[in-house]
Amino acid sequence: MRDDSELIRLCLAGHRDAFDALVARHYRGIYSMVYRMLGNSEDAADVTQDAFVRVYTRLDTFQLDRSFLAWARTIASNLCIDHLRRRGTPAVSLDERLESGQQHADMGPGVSPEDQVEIAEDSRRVLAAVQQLPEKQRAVLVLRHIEGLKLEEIAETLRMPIGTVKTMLFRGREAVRKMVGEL
Amino acid sequence: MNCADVRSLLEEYFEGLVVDRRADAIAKHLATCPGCAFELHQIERVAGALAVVPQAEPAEDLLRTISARIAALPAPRQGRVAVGWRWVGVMAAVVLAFLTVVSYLLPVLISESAASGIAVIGPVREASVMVHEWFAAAPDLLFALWLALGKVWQWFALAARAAAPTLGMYLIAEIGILWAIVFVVQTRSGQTPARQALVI
Repeated sequence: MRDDSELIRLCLAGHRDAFDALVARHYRGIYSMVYRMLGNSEDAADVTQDAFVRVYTRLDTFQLDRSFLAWARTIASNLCIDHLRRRGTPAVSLDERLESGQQHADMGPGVSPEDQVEIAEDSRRVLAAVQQLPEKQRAVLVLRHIEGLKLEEIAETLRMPIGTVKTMLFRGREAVRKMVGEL
Repeated sequence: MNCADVRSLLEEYFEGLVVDRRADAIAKHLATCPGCAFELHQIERVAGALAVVPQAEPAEDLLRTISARIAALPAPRQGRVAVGWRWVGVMAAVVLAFLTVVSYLLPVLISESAASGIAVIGPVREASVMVHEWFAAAPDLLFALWLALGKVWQWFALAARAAAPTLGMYLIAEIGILWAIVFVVQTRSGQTPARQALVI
């Protein structure tokens, strides 16, 4: 299988199908991140499309020594933040699918069904609270705790110092705690 | 460690990235400080609650829609693939650090070589005198411009940090910044070894 850099070279050489392969490889991951930031599937689909269009039109500026996914994530995150600024905090916190018992990630063999239900419920409450945060705090919490990025990766994605990332994480979690109460 | 030290490292501690004596010191502090222990608990419970959030699945037609929008666009420009600008940052930081060190030490070396009877490189020495005199006599505006240049340098170093293949390269850049600050401040007060050597 061709790696991302090779696909980008092919695309810049005029092979459009190479870009289709790149999109097919990454669109689910980008969509999921965008969805977690926006909390709305329709907006998430629009912003994901815009993100890939922007990636395509700026492909000649991509540095081949960087990770394509990290670059696409940066573009998508910035579009999310812009979108949230324009839209403001949504009246409806989360998409209906999340509220209706969507399957959660594997919690391991040692977790009883009752505990799984409780953890899933806590997860929904926290996720709903995250949706109420200011856009940058929300982005930082999503990238850190849902996407599993390291502090350095978040700093690079959102173009902010690591100290600012830590501060936003602290404030974001504090706000979530106030909204959710005891877990 | 005090509370500020511990909290500045709590994220890394939670990820298991803090090891050895620092990890022991944090654990010891957490055992006796309810505030910091509570903060760690916050990280654990928010991270725990969000860790089980499943990946959101897009609608089936999203891939087709993206492909259709891309197909309607002109092909991307086929120029040269961009050079890694961060590598330019790395090189600029290293070169600037090197130049600062050389400009600091060169007059001393020249002076010593003159004392030992070795021929002095006239134009280089004259240039060094000019630079040092300029710094010493520069009006505040020019001095501010020099400090602004230092800030640009710092940005280069930050860029270098993102791409530096080794910690050593980053340290060279950071040491260069500190050296530049010391150099400028000491030169203005006429206390650099270089200046003292040149005055002789």
